[in-house]
Formats: sequence, C-alpha cells, structure tokens
Amino acid sequence: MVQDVYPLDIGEWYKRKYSLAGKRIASAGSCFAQHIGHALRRNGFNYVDVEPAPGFLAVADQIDYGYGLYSGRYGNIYTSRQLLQLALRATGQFEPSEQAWNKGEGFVDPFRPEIEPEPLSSPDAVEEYRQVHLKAIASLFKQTDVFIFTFGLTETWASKADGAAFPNCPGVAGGTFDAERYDLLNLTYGDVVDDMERFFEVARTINPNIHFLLTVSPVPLVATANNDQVIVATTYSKSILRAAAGFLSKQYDFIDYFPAYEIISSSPMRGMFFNPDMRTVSAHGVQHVMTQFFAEHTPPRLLKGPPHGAVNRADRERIACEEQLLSVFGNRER
Amino acid sequence: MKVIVTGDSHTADLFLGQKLLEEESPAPLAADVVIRPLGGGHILPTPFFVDRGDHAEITAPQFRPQFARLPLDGVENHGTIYGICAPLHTARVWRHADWRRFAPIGRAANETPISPGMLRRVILNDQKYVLALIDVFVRSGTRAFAIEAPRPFRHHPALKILRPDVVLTVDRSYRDIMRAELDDRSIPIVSIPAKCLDEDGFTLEEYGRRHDPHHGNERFGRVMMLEVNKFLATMPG
Repeated sequence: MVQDVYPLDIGEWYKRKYSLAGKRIASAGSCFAQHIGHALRRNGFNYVDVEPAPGFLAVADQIDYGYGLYSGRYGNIYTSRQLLQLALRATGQFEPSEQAWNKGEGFVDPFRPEIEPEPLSSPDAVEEYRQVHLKAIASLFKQTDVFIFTFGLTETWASKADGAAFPNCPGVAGGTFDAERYDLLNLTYGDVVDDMERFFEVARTINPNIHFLLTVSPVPLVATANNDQVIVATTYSKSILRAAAGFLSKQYDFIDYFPAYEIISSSPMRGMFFNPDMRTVSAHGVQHVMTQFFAEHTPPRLLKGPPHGAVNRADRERIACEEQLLSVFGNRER
Repeated sequence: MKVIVTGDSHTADLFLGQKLLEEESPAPLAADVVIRPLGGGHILPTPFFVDRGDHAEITAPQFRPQFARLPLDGVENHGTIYGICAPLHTARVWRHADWRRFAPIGRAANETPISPGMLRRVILNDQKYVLALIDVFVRSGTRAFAIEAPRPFRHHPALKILRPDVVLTVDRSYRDIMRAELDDRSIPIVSIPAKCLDEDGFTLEEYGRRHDPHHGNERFGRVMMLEVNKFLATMPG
C-alpha cells in the first residue's frame, strides 16, 4: 500500500529470499554498484576483495587505480555480456582477439581501459597485468557465497570478429573507432537472460553453492548510440534489465532481486533522490536504498579499527629515527 | 658562504661526519655549515608547514622547535644556501611489507605487478610536502640543493621478508623519479659516491650501524659531507 503514504515511509520494498549472515559477499556492476559494495564494507559484512590495494598506495589514490570499488579490479561492468565474458576469460573459455589498445604513448586493456590513469608501456605489460587479474577473478567465484550484480545498460560496443564486449566505445578511453571492426549491440531481453544463465553456470561450475543477488541501477543513460531520445532509450534499457532480473529471480531459488531501481526511480519517489543533474543518485538516495536493504540483512557489528599495542616495523624505525636525532643533537634546540 | 643543512634523521649522520671533517687538518671545508634537522622522516609525508608565499611557516609541533620558518628571515637568511636531506629518502616506500605481495611490473614473479604510473604516484605522494617546501625555496629565490640519504643496507630486517631485487628496483625508481623532479626545479643533488655501494646498489655495511639498519654511520656522514663541501666549493659565494 503506497497510496497516501509519505514517500520515505513507504516500506516493505524487499523481502529477502535468503540470509546474508556470515556469508562472503562479492559485488560487480555499473557505477551504482559501487555504493552497495561500500555500504557492505562499512557495515561490517564479510566483503570479498580478491585484488586489495597495496598498503603503500595512499587511500585517497586507491580509487584512481581501480581498488576498493568492487571485489576485483574489473572497473564498471555495465552489461550482462561483459559479466559473462569476464567469467569466461577468467576460466580460460574465451580469449578475445583484441588484447591491447593504444592510448597515447602506451597501451591499455580493452576490457578495463580506465583501471589506471596512465597507460602501460607495452602490450606485454597489459598481458602481465591481465593474467594476474583474471587469476584473481577465477578465485573470486571460489571464495564467494553471494555475488551481487547491478545491471546498468543494454547497449554495448563489441568486436565484430568475436563478439568481445567492451565497457567503452573504442576510441574513447583507448583504441581507435572503426565501424568495420565494431558493432553497437543493444541487448534484448533474451540476450540478457541467456547471458546471465550462462554466467550462473560458469560461476556455479566453480562454486556450486554460490548464490546471486541482482539489482538494476537507477542511474539513467547519459547518452544513447541509438536514434531514440535518451529518456526513451533509458526506459527501454531499464525495462529489459528489470524484466530479466525479475524473471531470473523467480526462476531460480539461488537468485534474489533487490529493488534499488524502484526505490529511487518509481513514481511515488518523485525523482527526489536524483542530484540536480537528474542522473546521479544523491547520498540521501543511496542511504535510503541501503536502509531498505539492511532492514532485511542486519549489518554485523561495525568494523573494528586496527588492534592496539602492535608496533610495526615503520613504527620501530620511527622510534630509531627519533633516537638517532636525540643521540646526536640531544634535547637542545637542534 | 653560510650553509644550513636540514631535513630528516639522516642529518645526524651528516652532523657526525662534519665533526670528523672539522677535526681534520687541514679541514676540507668550503663553507660555514650548520647542520640542524627538522626531525623524523615520518612527519615529512604529512602537511608539516603552511605555504606563506615567500616562506614556509613550519607547523608540525615536532619540527617547530628547530625552525619556525624556512627559509629563515632577514639577515639570518641573507645569502644562505640550504642543503635538504629529505627528497631522496626512499625507505618509507621500499620497506613496506606489502612488497611481499606486489612488485614493479617486469619484476613480478608470484607477486602482483605494479605499474610505473602507480609507483610514481606512491613516490610523489610520499614526497608531496617536501617538494612543496622545495617549491617555496625556488619561488623565494633561495639557493638550495638536495643530499641523498643512504641506499638500503643489506642488513635491514625488511630484506628478510622482501626480495632484494624488488627493494632495489623500488629504491632506484624512487631516486630516478625524484632526481627528475629536482632537476625540473633546478635543484642540484649531492649524490652518494659509488665507493659506498656494492655491485648491486646496496650501501656497504662498513658505512652502516650494526644495531640500526636504517641510518649511516659517522664514516658515511664524513663521505657525504666531503661531497657536500666539494659541491659547495663549486658554488659562487
């Protein structure tokens, strides 16, 4: 019942299909998925990160290098096709013909061209980076109990040669656009369902007990490569994704659906959670979404800080530096 | 010519070395050198000063007893040349235990490769405030030079858990990146002479301290201050 109810008082958005208590949770998806991952981490869930940042990289710099956004350094995964192909690449079942794109003086991975601000020096370096990444992703499915995926788009650029789907249009963050080599795909409902069913199969071959939780990003398209007006294209895209997520969650008992899309975008919510750009979701919106989520999945205790009393090597050396200064210069004004 | 050498705890090695030189006859000294540290290097990657345009107001409580500002003010500063022992102190980065799991790309075996861009970001982040301080010196027209801190010692405990080639690659990258930054600012560098290093690039143990694997000893300080004095002899007064 939502009639005559204040929007923020609307409840019962979501009834969980299974509990997340004690489960190891991983996430991927379009940019809205970052909010879900951050909220899970902050609230003490057992969040899987198979490619954690090195401790010597400042926290403020980690996002620039693709760390801490998701459970691995795959960047945004907008489409079901990208997700499926990531799993296939990680398990050695698909080796795309496009291995490295030129960018400036260097090279980037076509499947995560913006994972770092600067390109790598050679295609070999891209390959070295990718092999470590894909190995980590294969391990992700082994160690995850619940994989959360947020659908973002149906439109994707793909190679005509082998169907490899890219997160960006070639030429935007690397590579060169060539209409002879690339196609714009607009995935259909059938495509999305097929992709996801194949993805579940790949993941469950690695880990038969893995469960999935699907959401649809409420963030509208910024542009469309089709001829439709962008709002029309957004509605088409989101409708397909929402219908596919709904079908899959009803079809399989190991798949749950969380209605982040509806909590932000449905008409009773009056668009109030969008920022003034009318695209991005405000922090209030994210918080409201996660409040509904946590109403069904009670967060574990809040994360504790580092243990007290431990003196690490850097601290010991800090003490040594102070001692060195004191022993040479004493307590006098140095 | 008045010279103030300042910086991190490695200035203590320089102070001891300078004392040795002063005791020699004839003392190979080119200038009136005062060695006065700022303090521990762990403070240097933090905002330890406020940029006041023509000088840096030192705000870190640990540094403030030594200097309230840099460069110094008025007559005290007239013609003074500053030797800064801080921009080539690499240990904060290479000794990190996470180099067990990561290695610069091209060096990684079972480790996760780190791109040159990421390593550069780490290094410039470590030296962000020191470079900003040097920018104040440059902007104020104050003459300054950099003094290299010891390269890694083989007996550093980090080398019990880290691969030596990884440590040396990180150390070398750090110095190369910082040399380029200093060069861009026209800051000359007093480097460690090759005789202090083994064939791989570690500082020879005879220049180290048995119970302190981080700092050089007075012998190291003497060598470096000899280099500083040689450098100063080439500078116009």
